[in-house]
Amino acid sequence: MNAFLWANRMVQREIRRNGWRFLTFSLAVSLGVAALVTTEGFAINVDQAMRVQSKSLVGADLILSGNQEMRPETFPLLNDLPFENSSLVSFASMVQFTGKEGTRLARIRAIDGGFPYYGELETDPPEASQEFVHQMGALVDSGLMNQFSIEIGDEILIGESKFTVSGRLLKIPGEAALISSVGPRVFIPFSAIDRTELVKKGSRVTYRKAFRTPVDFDADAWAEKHKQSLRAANVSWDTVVKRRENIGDSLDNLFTFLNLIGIAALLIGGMGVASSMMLFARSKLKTIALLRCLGATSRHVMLMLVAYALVIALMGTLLGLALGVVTQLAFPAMIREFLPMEIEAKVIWSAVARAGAVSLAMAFCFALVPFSKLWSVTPLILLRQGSHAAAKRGSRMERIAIAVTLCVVVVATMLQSPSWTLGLTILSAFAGILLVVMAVAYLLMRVLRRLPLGRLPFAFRQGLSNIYRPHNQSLMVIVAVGLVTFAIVNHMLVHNSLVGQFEQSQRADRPNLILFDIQSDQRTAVDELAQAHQLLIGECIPMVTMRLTHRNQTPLIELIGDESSQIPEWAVRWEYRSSYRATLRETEKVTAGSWVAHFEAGIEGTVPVSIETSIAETLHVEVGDQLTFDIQGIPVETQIASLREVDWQSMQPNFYILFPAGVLEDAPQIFVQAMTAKSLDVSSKFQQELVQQLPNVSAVDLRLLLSSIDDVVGKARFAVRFMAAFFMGAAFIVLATSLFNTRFERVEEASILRALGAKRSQVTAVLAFEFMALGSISTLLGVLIAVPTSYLISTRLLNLSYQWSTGLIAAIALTVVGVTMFIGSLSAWGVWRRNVMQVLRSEANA
Amino acid sequence: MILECRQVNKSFVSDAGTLPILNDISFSVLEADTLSIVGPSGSGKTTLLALCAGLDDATSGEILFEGKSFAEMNENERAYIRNRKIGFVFQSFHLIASLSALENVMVSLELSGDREAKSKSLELLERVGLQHRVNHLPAQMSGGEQQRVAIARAFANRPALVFADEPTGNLDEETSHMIEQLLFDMNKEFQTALVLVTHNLNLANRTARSVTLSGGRMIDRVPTP
Repeated sequence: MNAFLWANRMVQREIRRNGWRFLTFSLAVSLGVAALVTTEGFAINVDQAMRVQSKSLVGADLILSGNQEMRPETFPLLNDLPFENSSLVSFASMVQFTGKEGTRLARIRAIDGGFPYYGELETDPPEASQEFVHQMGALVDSGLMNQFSIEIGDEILIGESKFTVSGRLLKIPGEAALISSVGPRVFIPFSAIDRTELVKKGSRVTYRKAFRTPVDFDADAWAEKHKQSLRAANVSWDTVVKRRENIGDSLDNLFTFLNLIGIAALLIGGMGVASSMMLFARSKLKTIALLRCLGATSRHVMLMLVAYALVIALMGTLLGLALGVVTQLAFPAMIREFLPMEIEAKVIWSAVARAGAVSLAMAFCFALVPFSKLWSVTPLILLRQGSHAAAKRGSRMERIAIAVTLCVVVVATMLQSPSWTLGLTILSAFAGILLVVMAVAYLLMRVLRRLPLGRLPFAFRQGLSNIYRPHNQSLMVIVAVGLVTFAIVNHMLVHNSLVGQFEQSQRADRPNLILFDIQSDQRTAVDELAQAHQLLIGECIPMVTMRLTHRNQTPLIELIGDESSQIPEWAVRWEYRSSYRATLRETEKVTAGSWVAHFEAGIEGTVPVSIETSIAETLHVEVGDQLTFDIQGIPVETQIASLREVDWQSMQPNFYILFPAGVLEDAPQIFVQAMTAKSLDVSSKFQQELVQQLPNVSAVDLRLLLSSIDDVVGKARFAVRFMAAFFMGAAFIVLATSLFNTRFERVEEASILRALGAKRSQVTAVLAFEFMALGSISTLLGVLIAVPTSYLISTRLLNLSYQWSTGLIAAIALTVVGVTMFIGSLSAWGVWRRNVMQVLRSEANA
Repeated sequence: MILECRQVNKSFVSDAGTLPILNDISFSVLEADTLSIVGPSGSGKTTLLALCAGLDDATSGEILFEGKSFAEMNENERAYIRNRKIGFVFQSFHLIASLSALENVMVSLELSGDREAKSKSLELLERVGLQHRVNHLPAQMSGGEQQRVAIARAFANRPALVFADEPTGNLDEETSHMIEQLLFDMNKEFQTALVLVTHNLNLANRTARSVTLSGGRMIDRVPTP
């Protein structure tokens, strides 16, 4: 029989007898495989959807946007585009639901022409997308209708005009459904815009022109050719290619995150397999030695071990693929609302194959490493107990196997990452976290071992010392549970900081209603209305619209596209809404220069301004630099007197640019008014009356906004948790298999204790303390690493104030320790049913 | 001649210095011969067995198997010898726990590529009186039964020489007698030479010749066959 057939037969026999063991070994990698299949399939599904629906992502071939109406006489470039086109107008306004108690700030849109040319407005009923124009009706976002219990046929008030709701707006080409939660949309006929009386000189309106161009017209080339003219006119453009790139960039981040979870789950699973295999290999040491005695060559042994590893990797991969196919179908539905295109949930077999190949290679290597020690086992160990020749001689093969495994891990991670740099970053981050976790776990175990425990009860001491039992896999258990604890604590603490921020902003003494676009002559009316509804009137903040034109006397328009200037285009186009005041708020801090409260010379002199730090970085300016602003056609020279850090999470109107008092008081300005309403009901009634009296004024109830954001965050969190569950699941399988694999050592030890006269309660206590110690060390490890990480994420990445919660940590710690003890108890189940002598004899003969 | 040891020395080098284990050992084993290697614990019996089976290398001297020195053989040639020419019986049986009695015997034949591995193994198990236990796992058998499976496995390839390392060391007296008898019966039946390593003098007395070791030296001259 040739060596291949022989190895195959040996493995078949092993599976027949110990198939369940192989299955448990392989379980650890299966969740990682499933995560990869899900991610790969989702990425391909999205890519295919983008290709098929690419034009409907924009709805047209070219869209030009600006804040001025585009007519050939004012914008001659339009003459260069003699194609079918539509005009689109959009602006923000309060929508009042007549007959219902409720108003809501919404994005009002109107279309003149056949837009969208690709894709279609999805409405309920479907014909409403066409008929609302003829009926002079309105299409209202489905989410908004649900929120205020609006039915088709109800009336809504926008500005000075009433509209009948013709249908529910379900889907707009190229826009994610979830946008409606934060910024609901209402479509009205183009001809009805004037009736609302909301579009006047000075109103903040976005005008768009959408073109359907001939097939041979290259919209991107046209935009590239005319970009200077477009920029000079303050017109931006959107094409299919540009939109696809933008969406692609955003989705790349999502795929990176999903891939990270997949790779992390696969790596932790692979480590679990390696850990299980180590014990399995140990149990096979004498078998290999015997086979060598019986004449098996190194080739026979190697082929058999390779076959073992292959079978385990195959089992894990196939299990994972089966699970992955199911989740591949389920996952798109979970994040459908976040995507600007329709995703058809279907199995992508190429993704299954690719993820399967990557996973198989990784799982195979992880399984093979522990076996590499056995390749050169000497048969001498059968004659001499305790011969370590095998391990020594195998170390070279082990080093080779580890090197190959590392190479496979690197290549697999690179293949799963959108770029080499990102792949290396993911790999370095994971390796870094793993090294830190292992180092801290090792240190904690060392510290525990040195603790003077002499006076403690026997069961406690014995339970703790069991952690150092040879081949107990304690480090593996601690690392697996520690990583899970780290992930949970980190997630919960960041979430806690986020919630804390929301709660803080909703304190009774904080303003919860913000009114925008109040004209100077409307301030008194607003105040009177607020008093009538017993609202607390807060700060009234002036807002002056301006554009930045020069930096240190250099026109910014010349810097657009100049890579050496490093100024992004948006920062130049941005319509800065700045304010002026003499004092700093508690949410602001001067970090450089000095705060100037008053400036007597007005706009005639060089005005000392304060600039927020992040925009200062974006514009590459510092204290002393000069900026020129165009305020309603008047150039105003300024000099940066101070840099300011702003707490953007404070839910108050904040500004990039602050002028001192004495400069802008006479400039055309609008006001933002903060108020506090005792209840949502009071706020709602006030807003209804406000809309009727002052239709141009918009109001946002922060409680409703926060609830909408919370809804979006909640949905995102669910999708994240769903994917993170693969990692957690893999780690828990590693925990369970590690504990189950070391079951015999526990049974044997319990038998020795029983033979020495230990009572059942004593043996149970020893085991309980062992599992409790494992769980406690793991939890401590997870918390120790999660606290600084969550602090950095909360404060540096999300700019939140860090919220520590002892109760939360205690609850997580108790749960993790409890779960570890529970799984540990399951693994030790039946210790009492084993015959003591039988166990001890079997050990003697092993 | 099957096996010949010529002035074999074996020593181990450690941090503490060189530790001599065997010193100037010479003897030979003929076809169907029976020989025992006896001596107290630590006298070098097991080391000598390992050298004679080609499992380890002598520090000096020469061990010839069927006229060819183990020192001249590579690992694959030694594996071939162990598979076709040598059988082993161990004190702790060393059966593969996940294989049945039949499969344990078959492994040796399968390694040599024997197409009749199953029928030959069944015959051998019948010969050792275990025809009713062929599908049992080692854990389901008594010590005596396990050792009988090990004997069947050792004789499976009709080897020229069987090494038995304390074959009755883990068995009770009655079973020990039965196993001893089986070994000697099969030695005659298969015309296989038998080398026993033991400190059981009764067992040693049943062999034609004996090598007594003490402190790594032969203290009895082995009668020339």
